[in-house]
Amino acid sequence: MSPRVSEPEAEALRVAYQKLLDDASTDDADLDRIWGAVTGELSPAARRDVVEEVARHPSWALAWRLAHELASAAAESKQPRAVVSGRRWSTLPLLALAAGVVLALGLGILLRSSPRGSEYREPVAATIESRTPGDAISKRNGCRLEWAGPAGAVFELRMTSEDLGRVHTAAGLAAGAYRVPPEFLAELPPGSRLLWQVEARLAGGGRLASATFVATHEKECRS
Amino acid sequence: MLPVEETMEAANGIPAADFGLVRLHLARAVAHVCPRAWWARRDDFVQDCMVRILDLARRSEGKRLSATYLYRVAYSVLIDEIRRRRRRPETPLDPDEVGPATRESDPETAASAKETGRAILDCLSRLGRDRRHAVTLYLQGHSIAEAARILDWTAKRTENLVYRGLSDMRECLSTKGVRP
Repeated sequence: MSPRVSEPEAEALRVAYQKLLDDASTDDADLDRIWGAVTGELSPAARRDVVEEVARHPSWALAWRLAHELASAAAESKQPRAVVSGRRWSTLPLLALAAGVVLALGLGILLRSSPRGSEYREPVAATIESRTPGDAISKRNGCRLEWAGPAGAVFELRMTSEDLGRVHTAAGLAAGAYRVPPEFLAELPPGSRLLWQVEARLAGGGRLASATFVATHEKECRS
Repeated sequence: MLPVEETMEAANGIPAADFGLVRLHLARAVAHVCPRAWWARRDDFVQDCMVRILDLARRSEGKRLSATYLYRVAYSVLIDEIRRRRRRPETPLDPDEVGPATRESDPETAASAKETGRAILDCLSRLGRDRRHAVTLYLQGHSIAEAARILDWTAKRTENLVYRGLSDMRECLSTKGVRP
């Protein structure tokens, strides 16, 4: 019996196989069967039949890869939602917990938009901190969210309502402040909380994401 | 630089955040499969997909859509877009639009990669069915546990089939003079 294939050998095979898919078409792939196999909706025998086609046809292999990617994402996005939905956060500890969940669920995942391999965090101890006075969006501070981050960075801000019903993004921000559009606030009850996060594109390359901050919005900023 | 702002709202019971997540997961999937010629336009690709997904969601009036359904739709739309673009390949006008240089920029290396790919497919087809299935899922990037779940085998059996299959593959490839 030949010696076991080493990890580097197996990895080289994986890479060579993945390259096969670069030019693959998906024309003859049966998407329903592939999705059903990836998500486990099909019977085991039917799943094995699909894998047989995947082994034989690059078009099926590419379609399988995409299905796996998106089905995993669907499962990932579903899990924490079950925890959050319908919850009223009435105490600070609960709020902190929920904010943490939402960080993982919403903004955390939202900010993981770049390909996995290219994700990068600044190795130095740079941070982004909230500077929003009183953690409130109010007329006193011009209805703005404010933060401090690395010099020369360009920021992208994402915010969402507590129930994740509305999401707003603003990209290409050079300053550490952003006036929340009244239209965004108009549909939200006064006193409700917004969760927000900032990601910096650093001057020297790379990215840095903030923690998730919570801000209460006041009625006066809705118009 | 002018800021770019966007607000997404819930549609048919799907929270806006779900659309946001779908968009970003689509972006990730596209980044993984995007051919170099599309690299500079991959954001357009994702945007085209999102427009179609939102349109489908809006048109399904009265029907409450689940997040899972949304991802299934995203999958179909993504595949359709790939098919459409394969039929009408776009050649970038500006050389800077092409993605980051890879070893395949060299035609000789690209030809060699294709030859290796063909050899892998041929060697896969020569494996016994069970080994072929286990190795295929392994090459697709699945863990042993995932492959075992999909194939409905124990992890131990799956692992054995993967490593025996990979040994067979190595032998088959070496007879072809191919070394990945």
